[in-house]
Amino acid sequence: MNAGPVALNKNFGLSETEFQRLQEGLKQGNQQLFEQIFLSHFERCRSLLVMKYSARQHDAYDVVMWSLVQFRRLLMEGKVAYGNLEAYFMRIAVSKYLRDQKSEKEVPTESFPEELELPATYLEDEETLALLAKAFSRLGDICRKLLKGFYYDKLDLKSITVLIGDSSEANTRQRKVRCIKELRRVFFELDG
Amino acid sequence: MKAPLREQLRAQSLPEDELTDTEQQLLRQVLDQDLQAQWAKALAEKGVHRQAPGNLIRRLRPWLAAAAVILLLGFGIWWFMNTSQLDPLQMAALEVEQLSVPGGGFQRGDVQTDPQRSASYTAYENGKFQDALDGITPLLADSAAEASDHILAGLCNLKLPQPDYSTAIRHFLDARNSDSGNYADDLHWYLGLAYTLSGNKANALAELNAVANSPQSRNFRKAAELIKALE
Repeated sequence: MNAGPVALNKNFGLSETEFQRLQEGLKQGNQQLFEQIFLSHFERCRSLLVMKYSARQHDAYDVVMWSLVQFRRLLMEGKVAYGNLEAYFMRIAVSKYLRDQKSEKEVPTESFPEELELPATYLEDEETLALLAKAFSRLGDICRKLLKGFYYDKLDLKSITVLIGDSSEANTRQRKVRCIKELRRVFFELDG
Repeated sequence: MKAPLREQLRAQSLPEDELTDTEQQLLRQVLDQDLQAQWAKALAEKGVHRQAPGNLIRRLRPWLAAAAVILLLGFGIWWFMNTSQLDPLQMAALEVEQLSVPGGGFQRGDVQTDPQRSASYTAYENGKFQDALDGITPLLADSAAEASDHILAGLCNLKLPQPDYSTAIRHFLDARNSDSGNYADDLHWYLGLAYTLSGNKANALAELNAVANSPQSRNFRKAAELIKALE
């Protein structure tokens, strides 16, 4: 794959090696490099939406923020290949923006490394989400780390065992069951 | 109408060792929000905010308008209070009204041996200022007239329905001439009020300053306020 100057410009300034390091870091629950790279390009991506699509500042901010979350997930799942990261990222952002605006504008027909894969719309039940957020925040630190690691960061049980300092994977598996039970108990208790 | 997600979850039989797909999606959304909040904070530290400054002002416009109204009201109240407080004539007139008990231990006269003087003081205490003045005036020509008699006459002239400030001032000055010092502070105050009401600002300030510069005077705070109003 071409990792010359042009490619560098298309990849948020990342070389292919750096990209692989970033991806590996994310897979291990380390998102420091991701934040360092992408937050520094945040304003430029927002400006692009504002300039090219006449998006309002706060709409563009929300869209870029949302796109970052999705991009992180795609990177973790290994669904993004090195090549034209910036175009791919902007495609996600523009698609999201246009979908939000229910606009009939056409998405630019550039070529992208992968098929665009956007998640279905979020579950729109703010009250349930708020309850779950509250229930999750009331869990102990270990349960929060475990459930986040397993369901959000997609870490394997072995990595989670190390992360929470458990003695064995078997223990972590049992602990996971207890954490799920506790999360549901608090959630339904808060629901009344 | 579709039941809320939590009701759907409650109705389901949930597996013990796994979150259902819906639960997982909800948890992802919650953690997405956490992550976004964390990044928003990091961005804000770099000076990148969700609202552009212009939008922020637009959003705050109703609050700014409310603040402006409150400020205007506050200024209005302040102006009104200061205007009303800073009218020296009103302040002095109010003080004169409150001079119901002349300071310094008035010579009241003995009912038996000095009935006219006694009656004059009683009339004053009862608010009959013309009677008090009529009763005390003949005594003022007497060489036995006390400083307190001149003060009574002066106060009566201030409190008459048609006050005579210049006559009141003359009586107070006569009182000062015959006073051995007992009424010095009171006389500064009375003269300060009388000069104020007569429009003689320079003399008023001179008398009032004598009171205001004397912290032991019981009227020194009031004198300071009146001076402020006069200035």
